[in-house]
Amino acid sequence: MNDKNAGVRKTSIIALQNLYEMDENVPSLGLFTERFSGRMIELADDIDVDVAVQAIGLVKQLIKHQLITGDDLGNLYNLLTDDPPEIRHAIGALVYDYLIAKKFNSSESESRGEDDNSSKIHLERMLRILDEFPPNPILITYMIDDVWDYMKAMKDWKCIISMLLDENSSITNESKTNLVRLMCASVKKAVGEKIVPAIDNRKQYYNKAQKEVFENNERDITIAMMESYPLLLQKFISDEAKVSLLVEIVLFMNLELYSLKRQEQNFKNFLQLIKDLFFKHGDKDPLRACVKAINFCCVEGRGELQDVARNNLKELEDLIIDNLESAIREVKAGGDEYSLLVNLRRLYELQLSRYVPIDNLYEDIVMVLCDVRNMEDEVVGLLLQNLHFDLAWSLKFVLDKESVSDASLKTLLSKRDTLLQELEYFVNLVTDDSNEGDKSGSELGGRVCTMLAETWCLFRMTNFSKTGLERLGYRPNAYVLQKFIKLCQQQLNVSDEVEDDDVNKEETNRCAVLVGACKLIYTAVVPKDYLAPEIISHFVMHGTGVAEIVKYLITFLKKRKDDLAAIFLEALKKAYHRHTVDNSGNDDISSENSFSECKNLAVQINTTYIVNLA
Amino acid sequence: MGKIFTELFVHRYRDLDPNIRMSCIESLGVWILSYPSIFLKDVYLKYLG
Repeated sequence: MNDKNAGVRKTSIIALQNLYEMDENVPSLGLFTERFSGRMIELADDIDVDVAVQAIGLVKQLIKHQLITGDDLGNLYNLLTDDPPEIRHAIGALVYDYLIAKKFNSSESESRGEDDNSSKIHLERMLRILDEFPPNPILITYMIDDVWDYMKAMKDWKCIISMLLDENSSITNESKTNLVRLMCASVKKAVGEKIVPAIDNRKQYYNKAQKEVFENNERDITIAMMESYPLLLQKFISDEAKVSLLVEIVLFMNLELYSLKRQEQNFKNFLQLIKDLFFKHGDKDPLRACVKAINFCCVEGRGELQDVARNNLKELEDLIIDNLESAIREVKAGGDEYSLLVNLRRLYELQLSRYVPIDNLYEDIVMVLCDVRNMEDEVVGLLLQNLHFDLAWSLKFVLDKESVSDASLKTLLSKRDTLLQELEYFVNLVTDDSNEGDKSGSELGGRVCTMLAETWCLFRMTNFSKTGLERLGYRPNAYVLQKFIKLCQQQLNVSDEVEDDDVNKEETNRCAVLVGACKLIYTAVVPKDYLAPEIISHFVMHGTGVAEIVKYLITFLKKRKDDLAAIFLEALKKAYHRHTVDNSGNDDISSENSFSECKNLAVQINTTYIVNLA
Repeated sequence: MGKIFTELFVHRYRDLDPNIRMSCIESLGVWILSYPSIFLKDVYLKYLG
């Protein structure tokens, strides 16, 4: 077991597994076990995946013979969230046998629990384990994925549903949330979806038999859910965490069965409930889940039910527009912005996936943007974003049509100019020197940056040349481009010293801004040496996300045969210039840090340049 | 059997070639399973450890 060769270690473990397999050998292995059990447990975390998997199997045998106790396992359970799926699943098997089915415990053996209640008992034990996990849905999903293959109770849909609907249940609210997570993840697994990211990221192909199993599971899930789905939605309608997950289950159901089994009323009921909860919540998760579910019903519903779903969607769109009209009136009259904010979020989620005709609302949105200049950043961002989506969808319709009327072109042009005018206003506002250093504008700044870049790309000259739609082509003028670059710099330079919660937000914001700026280079909206040095000068400054985007850009520039040396030199100059300007009045420590960032950049650029030369 | 163990196994289980070491361990596993009265003892088991 201590050999340096993984094959030898594995052979030794397999030999021991064969020995422990026979009960009569166990007494003679007492001293040996005492001496080597520590090493066997250690091997569960071996560098070689095969060895680790076999060692976990061996540890399971030791527990079965009660040669070691749960306390000896130490950090073995940490492997539940380990990277290689083989190790996770091996530990999952151990957890299932030892802690859930309690196969090794003579007083609570499987044979005793194997009555009608066994699913419930197993699920309750699983929930107790999940309760001990940190409240992180990703870790919980890993745990569910590890145990899923072994735990039949996770596929006992009726039992899970009855536990969720049970009014007298002793399960805590947090456990119920975990049970909903478990149900949602299990449904996805049952129909062949991945619930944890795969290492290789390749699309998985299934054979005919596997597909048949998934279809049968889909059928079982739908039948189990038909009557209880509206009850579940009704019960948890106010609980954002649960209801977002529950709504997503629709996507894995076979809606045809609602028609075949004459369950139209239940279909209508759950659709109505989804619509209700769309207007009850205002955050991203429930709203996005609702939109996905409704879109799915509009496509997958059969016959009359599809019409029901489409009508439902139409009513929902009309209601949002009504709500927005009254919310805008309220804001213009000096009232509260909350209703406008949540309804804009709803419209945003809808427009993300489909065109929503907002012609009646368009003027109002523009007017409120121009008239009420002191709205919250998020409201302004969403107003602009919704205008941007409307413009993008309108352009798509124009491009899809064979012949375009002059009037629709004029409308589109006017929408484009209005949006660009508003975006330019906000670029000026956010880059205004008096606002510099004000972090509150950073989210709006990021949004404006991305929307400007997107709009310029959508309407770039080359898109429309020789199409008869040349009028639609647009090229930003030098002044606005300068402002845009200033805003990009401002966004990228937002201090890294933010609170923990804000770190991801800032990183996402930086990435979004960078992607937008890179698009301008890819699509040749800006001259080639315009933005590239600025972007590359941020290569090693802000984490892996930003570094990856910069790497893609460098590969692109190399393919385009640009003068990499000149761009790299310019990037270094820019980084050094930033260091000298930013630290002119600062203390030694921050100046030293900033200089070491410059040196890191130089090293990274040097390596990249040499690799690219090779 | 004892001769094979003392004159062959104890030398070759430390062979430079991992395939030979692997073969030794595999064989020892089979011997212990097949002749527990002789080999299921700590003096032999230690080679698996």
